[in-house]
Amino acid sequence: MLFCDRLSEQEALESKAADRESLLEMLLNDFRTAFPDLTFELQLDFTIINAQALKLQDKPTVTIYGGLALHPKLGAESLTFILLHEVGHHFAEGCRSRRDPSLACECASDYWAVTVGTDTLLQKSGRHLRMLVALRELNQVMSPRQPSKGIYTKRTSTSGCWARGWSLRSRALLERARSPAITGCCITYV
Amino acid sequence: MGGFINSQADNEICEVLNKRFSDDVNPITGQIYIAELRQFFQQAENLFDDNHHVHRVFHRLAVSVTGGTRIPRAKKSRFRWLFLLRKNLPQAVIQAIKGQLTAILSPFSGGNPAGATNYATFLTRHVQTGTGTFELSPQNSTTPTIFHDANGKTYCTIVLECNVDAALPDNDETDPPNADGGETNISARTKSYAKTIAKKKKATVKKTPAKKAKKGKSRR
Repeated sequence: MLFCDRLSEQEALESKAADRESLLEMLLNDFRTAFPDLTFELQLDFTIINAQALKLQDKPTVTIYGGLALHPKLGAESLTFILLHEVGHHFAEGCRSRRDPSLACECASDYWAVTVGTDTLLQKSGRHLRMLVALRELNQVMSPRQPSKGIYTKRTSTSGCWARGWSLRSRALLERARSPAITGCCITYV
Repeated sequence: MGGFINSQADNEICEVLNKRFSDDVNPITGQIYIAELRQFFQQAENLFDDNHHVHRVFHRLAVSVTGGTRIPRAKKSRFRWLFLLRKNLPQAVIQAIKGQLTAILSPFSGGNPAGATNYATFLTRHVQTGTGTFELSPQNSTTPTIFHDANGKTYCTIVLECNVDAALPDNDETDPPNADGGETNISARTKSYAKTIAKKKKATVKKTPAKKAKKGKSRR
């Protein structure tokens, strides 16, 4: 997370003024109800535009940083999806993350988020994810950060992995596409 | 570490270290990455003694996986990362990194269970720390914590905690970093080494008598 983009001070102020913190509190309460085995951390003091699934001291944790949580272009729907995706890293089965084998890979987490995760959240907390709205919000933030023509994407072009670019990823999310099951299909950076 | 938005440099750093300390098989040598490294550490060179600098060791570990490509690939990010390791990390963090990695690579004993772990993973996170600056979890301890994964394997997680909410500072770094005294080749996967191995394999396959005999049989 050392090299992530950061939210500008102006953008953070805008969201704080819009009573974002109470929205975040409600959202996290729903997630704590739906997924009581996980720890949810809100790190508003850090302006990093990202969220993270971690296993710390064997404690599965989901952290959302201020840059994403307070991002003025993101609303309740996209934040719900972001949190579900991070929860998916802990609960999804199948392909493992190359960066941490104790977590599911990006595509498996996405698929879990739009299927099992969405259903569990609705059943346990009553929160309904409107994926179309989430994608519309996320488009503005993700498109410039995960262009599909990145220099790291060529190697996995036939693997079915969609984590390499936002356009592929958003299509897979919309279609609730099953994550690829081929071993070693994941995006790799080295 | 499952980040929602891919951060190339972070991913490259973590992935190359995870690979180097993984229980995957090195396709070139046929050995397990972490076993190779333990053998190197115990028999050839203590990478984390006082004569070694962590930014140089990082560079060597990275190219032993990539075959020569420097990590992070983007020069600006690489310089920032090397500068952090060389100059900006508090001494207590450097000692903790060296201590935890020494434990993981040293022989297993009752006092050092980390020496038998199957693999180690590396990650960074942003959090308020007790010292108000960078820390290695937990609290700059030199002893790594051991966990069990779902497959019954044991592993250690090396977590660098960052307290500062700012981009890493730029600096014009020597790239690659200057060699430490008494270095030996971590081998593994340099391009020339890979070519040599491939040539040798090709030659062996051609000359194998069993294969020749089999070929003869099929003709008959």
